[in-house]
Amino acid sequence: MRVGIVEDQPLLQDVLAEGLRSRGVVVAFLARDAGQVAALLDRDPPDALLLDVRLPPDYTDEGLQIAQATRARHPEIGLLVLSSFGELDLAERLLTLQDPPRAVGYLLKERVGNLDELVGALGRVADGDVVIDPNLINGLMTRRRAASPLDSLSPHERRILAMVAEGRSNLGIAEQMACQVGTVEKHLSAITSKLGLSAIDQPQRRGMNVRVLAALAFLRGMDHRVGR
Amino acid sequence: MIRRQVYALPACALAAACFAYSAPFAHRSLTDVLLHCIGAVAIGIGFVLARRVPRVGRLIVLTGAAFYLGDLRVSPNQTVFAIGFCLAYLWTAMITHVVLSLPSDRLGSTSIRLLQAASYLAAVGTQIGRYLADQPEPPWWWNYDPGEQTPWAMASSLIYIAISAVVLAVLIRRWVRSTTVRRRQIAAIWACSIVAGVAAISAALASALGAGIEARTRILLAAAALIVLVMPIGLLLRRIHLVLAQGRAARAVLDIQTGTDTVPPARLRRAIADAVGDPSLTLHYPKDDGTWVDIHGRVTPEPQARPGRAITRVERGARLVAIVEHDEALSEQRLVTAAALDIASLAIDNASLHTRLRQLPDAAFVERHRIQRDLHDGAQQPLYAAMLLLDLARTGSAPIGPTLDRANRLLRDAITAMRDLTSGVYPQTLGEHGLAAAFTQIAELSPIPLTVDVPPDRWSPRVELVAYFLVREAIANAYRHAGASHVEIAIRQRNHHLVLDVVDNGLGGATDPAALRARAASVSGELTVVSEPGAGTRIRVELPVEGR
Repeated sequence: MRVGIVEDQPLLQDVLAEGLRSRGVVVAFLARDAGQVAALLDRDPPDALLLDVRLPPDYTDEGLQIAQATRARHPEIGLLVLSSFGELDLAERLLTLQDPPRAVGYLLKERVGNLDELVGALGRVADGDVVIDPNLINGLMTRRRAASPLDSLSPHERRILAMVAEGRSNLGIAEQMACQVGTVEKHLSAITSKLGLSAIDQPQRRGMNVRVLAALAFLRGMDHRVGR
Repeated sequence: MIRRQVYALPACALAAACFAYSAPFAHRSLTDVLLHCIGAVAIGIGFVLARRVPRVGRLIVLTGAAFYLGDLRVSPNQTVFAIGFCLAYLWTAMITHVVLSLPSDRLGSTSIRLLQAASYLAAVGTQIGRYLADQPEPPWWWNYDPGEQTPWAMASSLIYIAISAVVLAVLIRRWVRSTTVRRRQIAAIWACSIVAGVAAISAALASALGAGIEARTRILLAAAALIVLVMPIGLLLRRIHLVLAQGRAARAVLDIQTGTDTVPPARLRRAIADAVGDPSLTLHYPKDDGTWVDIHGRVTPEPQARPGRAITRVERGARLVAIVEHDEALSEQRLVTAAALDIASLAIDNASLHTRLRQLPDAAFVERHRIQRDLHDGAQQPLYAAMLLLDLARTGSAPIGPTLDRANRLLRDAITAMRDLTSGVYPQTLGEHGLAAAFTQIAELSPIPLTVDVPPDRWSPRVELVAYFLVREAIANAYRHAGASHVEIAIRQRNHHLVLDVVDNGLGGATDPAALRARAASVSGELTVVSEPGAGTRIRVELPVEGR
């Protein structure tokens, strides 16, 4: 797998490249801002792009702007965005680049502390999957909300929802929870019906992600209603 | 031009004389008497109106008086008859004058003045022409049948129609171009003018088409009645509208003032706008440095009267509290506007405090953004890198000893960055020893030489903190953007202000330092910048402090 790294801090840039190489990933290029990325992408497009959200010049959402531009020009490149802060609105913008969303990921930056996970997420994004940091989902679930539909989920179901959000397959979840795939599927249909998302049900893995995205959008809607 | 009241009384005396002189000839029926009294009614209404709209009121008095000039045509004396004949239709031109003067009491542009002059010329000129050409014989009356329609009579009717049509067109154009406020004000007058104009044209048209003398007389007199009576009614309606508006304004503003002592400026603006009936009204607050801000605390250009817009100053005592910019048409109800703004001045004044306070969140936001960036750049990155290195060491993907060493160094870097950051949020030296000590410390650590001239005095923690951050950011700007090699910092207390000067020898030509300005504004301070290209930058901040 060939990956381009977009990170403005030279120190982290080097260490990231070193870490990815140690896992057999080919680092196609190192860039620090939008200008550099555009030129490098046209020359030799990689399989995936690893992006920091905050980049020069203003350190706001430049990484996401690069993601948008890249998706428009090179739709085949997977986009994995790393953020120090789990900003829901940035996640949503990433997920709405395309409908249905594909080949995008949003992880908290501390995921760099587990290279195998990070490389795994890069691989899934490069394959066209959607990956959302489970912490983002957990954060949503633990945040106090007035009458959240999530309150109706059992702890078991919450765990499954979080794993779904990570982009794991039903089989993967079953392995993790040491149970049958059928049990996982039963739990998932319970979750979707409890969250009022039962209309969206496709058996495929892609469909599962779409369900999670619907859940995300739904949760965001809840957040807006109670006022954060 | 009728400028003074003294013209009105002789005019009325003349009218009365004419009225009495022609009475035996004219008053053959009750209808005749009533029609003959139209001018008198106009005079009465004109006097009433003169108190509010002096020029138009006087003009209506004179119009009513001029109505009786035609009475002189009953005189057997050829000269008196000639005067009466020539001036018989002067009043129609005067009505045009009234219509065109409304609602501002002025004719306005040169083209309107020319139109008015043409109107006078036509009203008198055509009659003079008729007198000379047709050689009419006395006596003559409104319904006198001269027999065959003469070319001059025909021509004067057509000219009258043409001028009336142009006047109507002017009125319609004015209506179309009016603002909502203006339309509401002049709706009654406008409607009256249009009705009167149409009646006048049809009377002239009937005359030109040679309608029977009875029909012509009736239309003419009906038109005259309509014009002379309806116009003052329109003006009266407008007065009533203004009185109602005044009541509304007072009520709205009283509503504002009962309850809370400070009304949010946006609500206040809306209430005042509703009260005076101008949704486009805006409030502008002066600041001590001569700039102006709107209700959101945004800097605006100095409010000035310009075409279509007028300004009203709101004062309390001798102090200018705010300037209200509004539709020019409001100036014509200035009593109402002034009363409303006068009542509201306390609320407007209170709201200005509110406006200043609104700048606080901005400063807080800027500060938060800066902390976030410092975190991102300084503390977080080495932590992420250390985590990654530790993972490499854990999984045996890199030589353990050197990798752990690198991670160790990175953690030390992160701790240092954290310490710098927290001391930046609330510098310890500043809290314990004050500005002089804190700046001396900055000077010691600074990448460029600083000259510090700060007395060892203490001020409130809030002012000290703002002063500290302002200086830090100003130095950072001087170093990063202006390429300065030397910065001077000086602080003095002058009366009730702490005066802070930061002068660098850099490139100059700096853009307005919005972040610094917001910081200063968060303690009601003012900031001025002088930054000529090539001549360095001088920032002066004045922060209000309690007197000593």
